[in-house]
Amino acid sequence: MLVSGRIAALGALVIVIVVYAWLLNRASKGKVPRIRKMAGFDAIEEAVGRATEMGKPVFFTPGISGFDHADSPQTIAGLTVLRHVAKLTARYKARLIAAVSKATVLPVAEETVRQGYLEAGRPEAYEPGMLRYLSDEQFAWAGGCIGIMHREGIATNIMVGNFMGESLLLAEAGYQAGAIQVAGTANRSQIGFFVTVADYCLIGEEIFAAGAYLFQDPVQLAGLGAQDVAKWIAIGAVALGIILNVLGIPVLVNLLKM
Amino acid sequence: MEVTSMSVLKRREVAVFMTALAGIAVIADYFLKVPILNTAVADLLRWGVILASFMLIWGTISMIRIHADVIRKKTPNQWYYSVWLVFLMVVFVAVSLIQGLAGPSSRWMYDSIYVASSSTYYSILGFYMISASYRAIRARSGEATLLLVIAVIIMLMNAPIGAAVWEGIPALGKWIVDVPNTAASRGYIIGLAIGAVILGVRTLAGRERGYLG
Amino acid sequence: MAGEDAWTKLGRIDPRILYALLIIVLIIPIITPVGLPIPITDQTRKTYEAVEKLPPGSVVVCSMDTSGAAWGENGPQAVVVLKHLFQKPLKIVVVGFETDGPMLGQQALLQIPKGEKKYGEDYVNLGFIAGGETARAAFGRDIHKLVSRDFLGNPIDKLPIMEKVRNAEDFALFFTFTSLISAVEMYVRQLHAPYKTKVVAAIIGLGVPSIVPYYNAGQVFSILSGSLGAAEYELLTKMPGEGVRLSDALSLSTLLVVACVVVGNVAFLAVKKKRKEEKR
Repeated sequence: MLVSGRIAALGALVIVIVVYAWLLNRASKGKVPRIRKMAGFDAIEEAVGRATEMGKPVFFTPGISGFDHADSPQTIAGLTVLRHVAKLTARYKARLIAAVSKATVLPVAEETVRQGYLEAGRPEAYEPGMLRYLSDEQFAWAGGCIGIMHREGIATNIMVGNFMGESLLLAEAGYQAGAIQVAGTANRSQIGFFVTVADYCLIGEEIFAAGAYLFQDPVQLAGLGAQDVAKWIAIGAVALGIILNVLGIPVLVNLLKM
Repeated sequence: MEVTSMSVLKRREVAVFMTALAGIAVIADYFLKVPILNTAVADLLRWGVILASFMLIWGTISMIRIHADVIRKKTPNQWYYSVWLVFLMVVFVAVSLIQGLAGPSSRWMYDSIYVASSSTYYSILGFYMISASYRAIRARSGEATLLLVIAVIIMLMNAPIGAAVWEGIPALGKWIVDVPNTAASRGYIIGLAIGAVILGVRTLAGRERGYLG
Repeated sequence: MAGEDAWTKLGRIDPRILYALLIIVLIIPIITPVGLPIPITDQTRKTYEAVEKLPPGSVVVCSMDTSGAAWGENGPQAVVVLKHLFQKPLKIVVVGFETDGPMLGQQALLQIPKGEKKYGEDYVNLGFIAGGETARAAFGRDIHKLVSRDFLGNPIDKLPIMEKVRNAEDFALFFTFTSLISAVEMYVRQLHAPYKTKVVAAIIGLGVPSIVPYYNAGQVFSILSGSLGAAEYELLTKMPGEGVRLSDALSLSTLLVVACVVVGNVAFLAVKKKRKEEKR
């Protein structure tokens, strides 16, 4: 009944689920894992404060993907950060402009910003014009974002989500507009551009920790803990595999091929 | 208050349940050889393709609604671009429906307008790249210097002239890509994969509802 | 600014000067080719030899997972690979899982000599299939249940070429012409993992370092790297085209970028040294 060659993968999946369920149970009792400081997330509040002082807007974009793409988790991570940014802009009375690339993301982003303003105690300050749907087309959207950055003279540029070839365009445009930049993506071919140009960078998986770090959500904290345990298991397997391979014992390789 | 069947269907729990059912079925199909399950999932995947096709239509309608709203409100500095967009969209669709996508006019419009403008915009990246290279790739620290050196080696490796600059560039670049880059990428891929599994488990358990809006 | 020395000015050069230099460096080799050497990489050679060794009647799928923007790099790759495939007694299926794919595939097909090959018998364009990874998974399982008509509107059941092409087990080689790393990863998951399909990633240069781990693990059969990969393939097939034509521009623009990095750092370090000395 089980497909051969995939039994090891099934075993690994079961282990990860069991570990997550255990940590989730612990989190529900208040025992949550601690996570390290992430300069990128901490810098967001400073960046929004800068925008307030300068009287210029904060620009945010959750990337180019929607919810029907393999990279949709990055969009969800970006929207989590948007909720935090919306809360801060409401609190500090900074102007927020958020641009999305997909029509399906727009209503979710609107609700997210509304939620942020509600959490900050200023729901009346929310304006629908804060959210702009520019284009589904990659470079049309990028061109729209660059236009907003230059025309509005932004003070802060926050980009967290899935970015592709337009990442350097946006980062460089933000620099030329004189903005402080916080950027993060899990798209590894674009991280180099953000690291080089942005002031603060969230690298890869760090963007997925947004919900856990910014809102201390126990479900997401438990998820981070489970990821760490799974990674330690993977590291152990790699180390054991190297040793067994050097000794000429193919046990682990054969086990993983099951 | 009378609860109608429509209001029951609109409840988030229904959407979460359907997501969980579909997700578990597809995962089970990957690991199990059960003919009825395998057939059901094959059909499910085809339904997904049909839904995605309809989403394209819905996306177009959604886009027209948004731009029609901009035109109606005459949003300053924006409404005339929306008029142009809707006009071009109507022309593209009309020509493609009359001639087919493979027709000469459709192809001309696609190649001369869309491909030309997309490629042009992508090529602006080259200019931003050069200004970023000059300004941002600086030896500010040990790590930045390492980044700089490796970036230069990889750039030269990816150009035909790299071997002419120094004969060791291709071999050194290949080692950098094959060893440290592969090692780091593999760690990254494994980490992302584990994260995707956790996110999937959260989604199937109904604990992650960001996609519902 | 007043009082700035030469090094500081050099470090803050107007980017428009760099843009002008880039334009010059790109235009000159296109107008008057320099003819710089193009070494052939092992991966390109492996791709070429794989096509050369395919038995007659083998099915090769070319998936256009690219866009108009990336066609500058993927276009030369697609054209030279299709030219090579059309010279061989192979069956060629063109498909697109990104919206621009079928139109660009059709554009590539129009540029190549067909020889004796007939549409519907020896090659076909199946058009666009929406759905991302779901569509790719369904394509690997059963093409006939997924696609009813080709790009030109012909029912695929009436096309002789499709009689023997039912699912991924029938593919001898699968090319993906793409700018997306995620597209290659989807094929690794949905075609190579279940069906052991040989996937050739014809990807833009930027994406190659991210695909190399899959290549080293044997999950991706081979890689064609951007327009340079196209140039190498053109030389191997003795059909020089756009790739070779652009290779000089690629070389000279790379040298310019490297020069910018070097000059920028020389200015940066000179200013840093000067400030240190002033503090003493």
